[in-house]
Amino acid sequence: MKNRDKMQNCASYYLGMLIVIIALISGCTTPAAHVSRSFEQPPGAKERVFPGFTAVIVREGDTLSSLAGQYLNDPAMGWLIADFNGIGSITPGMEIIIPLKPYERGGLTYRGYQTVPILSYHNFSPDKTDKMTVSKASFEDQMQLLKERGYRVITLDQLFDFFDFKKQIPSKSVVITIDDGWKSVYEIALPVLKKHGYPATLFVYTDLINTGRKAITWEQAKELADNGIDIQCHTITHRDLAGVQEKESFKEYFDSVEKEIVQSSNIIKKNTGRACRYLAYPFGNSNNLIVAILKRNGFRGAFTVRRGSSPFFINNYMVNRSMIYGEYDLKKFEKALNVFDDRAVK
Amino acid sequence: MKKLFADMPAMLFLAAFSLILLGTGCATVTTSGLFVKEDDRFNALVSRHAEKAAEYEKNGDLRKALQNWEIVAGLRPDDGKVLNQISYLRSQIQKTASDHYNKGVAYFQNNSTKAALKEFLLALSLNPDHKEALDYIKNRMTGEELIVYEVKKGDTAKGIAQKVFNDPSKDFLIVYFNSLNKDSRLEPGMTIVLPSLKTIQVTPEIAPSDDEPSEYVNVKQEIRKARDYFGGKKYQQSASAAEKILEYDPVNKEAADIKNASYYEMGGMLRNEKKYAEAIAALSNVDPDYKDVRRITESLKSIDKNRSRAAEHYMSGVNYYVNQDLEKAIKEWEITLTLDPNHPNAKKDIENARSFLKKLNKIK
Repeated sequence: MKNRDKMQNCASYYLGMLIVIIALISGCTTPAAHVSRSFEQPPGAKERVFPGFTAVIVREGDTLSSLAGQYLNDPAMGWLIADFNGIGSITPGMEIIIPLKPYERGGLTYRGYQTVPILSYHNFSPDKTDKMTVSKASFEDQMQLLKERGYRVITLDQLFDFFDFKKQIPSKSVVITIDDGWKSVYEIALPVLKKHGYPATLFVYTDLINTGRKAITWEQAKELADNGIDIQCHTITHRDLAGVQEKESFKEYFDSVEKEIVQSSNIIKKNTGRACRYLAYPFGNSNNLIVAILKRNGFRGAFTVRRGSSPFFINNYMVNRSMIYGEYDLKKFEKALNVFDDRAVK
Repeated sequence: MKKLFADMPAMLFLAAFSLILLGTGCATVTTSGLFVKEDDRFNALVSRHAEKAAEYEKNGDLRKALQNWEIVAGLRPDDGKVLNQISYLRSQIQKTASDHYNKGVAYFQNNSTKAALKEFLLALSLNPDHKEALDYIKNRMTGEELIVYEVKKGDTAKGIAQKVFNDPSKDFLIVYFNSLNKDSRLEPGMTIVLPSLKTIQVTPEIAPSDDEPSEYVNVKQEIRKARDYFGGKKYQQSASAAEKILEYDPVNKEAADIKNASYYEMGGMLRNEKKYAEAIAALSNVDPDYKDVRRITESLKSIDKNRSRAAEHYMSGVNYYVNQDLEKAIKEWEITLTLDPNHPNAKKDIENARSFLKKLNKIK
């Protein structure tokens, strides 16, 4: 059976080649009347627009960003052009295709799918490290590595547009999150993030804010928000939402967790002026009731601390995050950056 | 014709495509063997995407093949063969996606969720606009948190709570999740939603995450430990245990109390041992508003300051003594005693110096 297929393939190949050769021998010239007669643009034009795409010959001074601004109305979408054409940069004379809409939502192909690493930090220190504290030098190295390896840091809104199969994101996308609200976020992480132009999300538990020299103040939280750090919910007291505590009635449990979610959101909105749409579960724990409360109150998604990158088809309320520990070297850090998987389609 | 075209392998199609281009008037050949239009600046793109399309098709990636043929068609809009190939691929994609979707539904109904997910993903990979496949993936396969209930004649909130949760006191959940008032009537035929309580468990105060046990600090256990240390007057250990909790949960009042009490007691013990500097250091860890810590610290600082000055006067006295200026030595040591009445040597040294001075005066 295999041989027969092979023979058929060979026959097709030679037949094809024969047609090509005959065509060549016929050596035709180009009658002007046949050329591009239905094109709207003249043949010498530097661009050709057709449904879904635009073909462009790169001109002097063009950049991915300028082309994205011109054709996609968003200079930040240069990555879409780069990813589609499989290039890192452009040079004059290069012929490229600009996709005018997402061409691979969810990063899904029949061979596999994109996954997004969501990094979870807690505390930073000028020098010392422990499990939950990353030194300034390590954090700088990690952010530099993201840049050098071509990763692009995206926001939570972009991530959830990807999860909802609405929009495409860069093929090597990463999300940065930081939990709690320690002052080191303001003093150490922010300058590094600003240097690279990376957005990040700070999940705060509101009881921590304004509690002394180790915690940020609301003024600092607002300043962080003004500098691209999205402030989101991590409850009021950091209680474990997943279980009824000993000696706690079900009604008390419900009232407590509902308050932890809804009031923390209100407090953040009041102090930063920005709405809260995402929650990081304290200790990464949740249950169906918590998810139902989140949905009822307009939350778009929530995060666990289950290690691993997340594909678009993950439950939006049980999104994975990989904790980055203080003792991680760059090799360990890079292991958390998986951007492709195929297990679910095999 | 369509059938014949459908069965045509990619290479044969490429050849035919080239021939068509020749027929429409071309004279050059790219290195890839694809004929191009003489004065078209986008020839390289046509070749590149036609080749890509053929390659994807050969490897079974129909959607990417279609995408690339669409680009070729955009650049060669008058080419009927390309349009035919696009039309063929679209129908193939629709049929294959539909097959995968139907398989997915069957697996889903048999509770084979892993196999169902695979089929829905394959359907969606072929046809990203397959809304039903997406609905299964994003909603029906994950949304287990709500139970839909149709109100029957005679139903009350308490009755439904009893039926669904086996607990009539959970009727408040019906009110909350359906935005009802306490007095709202439940009309027959009305659809309401209730949360699933299946995954709720009674847990210790803070349950560890299986995936990240290292993050977890069992606050209740640590508090107990801290209290035990404190009861056993092991203040250093009780303070450390409380600090560990506070590092994890900075607003834990109980831990803050134990920490304050521990350092306060340590300060007292060190003061009794006349280790004033150490006592001050211990008390610096206590909340300044805790008990009388502010007053004690001030007093200790004053004592400590006097002790430092006393030590300076004492050494000055020793220098006078060595230089046989006994009167000045005695004077310095008297100041020492005024500043630090408990100075270990000053009193005895004064006595010795006076006695020596007396003997000297007798000799004179």
